[in-house]
Amino acid sequence: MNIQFKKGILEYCVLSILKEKDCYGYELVNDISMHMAISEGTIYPLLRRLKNDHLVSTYLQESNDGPPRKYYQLTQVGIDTQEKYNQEWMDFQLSVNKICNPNKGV
Amino acid sequence: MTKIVYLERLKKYLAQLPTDDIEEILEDVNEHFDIGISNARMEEDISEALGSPKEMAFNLLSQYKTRTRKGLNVVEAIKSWFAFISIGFSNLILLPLFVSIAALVGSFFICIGAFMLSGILLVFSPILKQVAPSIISTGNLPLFSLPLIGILLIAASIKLNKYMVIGSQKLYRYALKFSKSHLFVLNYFKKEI
Repeated sequence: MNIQFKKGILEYCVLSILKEKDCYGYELVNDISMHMAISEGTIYPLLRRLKNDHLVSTYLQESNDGPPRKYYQLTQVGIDTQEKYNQEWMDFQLSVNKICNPNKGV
Repeated sequence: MTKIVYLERLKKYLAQLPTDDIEEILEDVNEHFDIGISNARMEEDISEALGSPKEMAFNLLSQYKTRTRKGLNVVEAIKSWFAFISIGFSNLILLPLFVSIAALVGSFFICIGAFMLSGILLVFSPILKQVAPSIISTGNLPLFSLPLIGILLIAASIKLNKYMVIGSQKLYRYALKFSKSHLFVLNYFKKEI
């Protein structure tokens, strides 16, 4: 998959996963790389940016094995942004399909 | 690459960021390694999947750059206006000066060219006299003196030309300095902003 595609869409994916459940970094990386070939290192800078922009917040939680883990959680701004991306993605997908596969009928 | 090496390299590349931010990033990556290790993954594999520390640092640093550019407080806005005005002022005063001097220099060159041309014509005037007697009028001067005057004119215009070239080179250098001073002002304020 084209790397520029991935970069833009990764933020949407991360927000969407976090909307379902709070995650620690490793879990998030795992969830995404299960479906997409990404450089795992791109997730952490992204999380940092989301945190600085107040789309996510963090908290520590004890784990059964090993030290406590840092969980990422969507803020209200994050939830709103995810919903905005949802709509934008739908529209975008439709437009792209209309342009690239005009005969298939969408 | 082992966890320790990865974290050390990442820390080195991030040196320009605030210490708190570096700490937080390193903690995240450290946790990532630890959980990976507890899931029976090799440190080498984990760092491979993460991509190079340089890449990750580049990703992080580029975010900070765009963020600082986004925020512009009052002081910075005033500073940017000051830069704009000072450059505008120098353009208003100095630029017309440069343009008029350059135009003057250009017209001097044209004059010198005209001198040169008339000198050449004078040198060849005895021949022209033979070809078309009606266009050459020597007045009271003997015909043989005209080529001499022509040679003097050519010599004078070559000399003049030399000075003009030196002068215009100086002007060019000043114009360059002038443009560079703009860049300097811009760079100075960019650093601030």
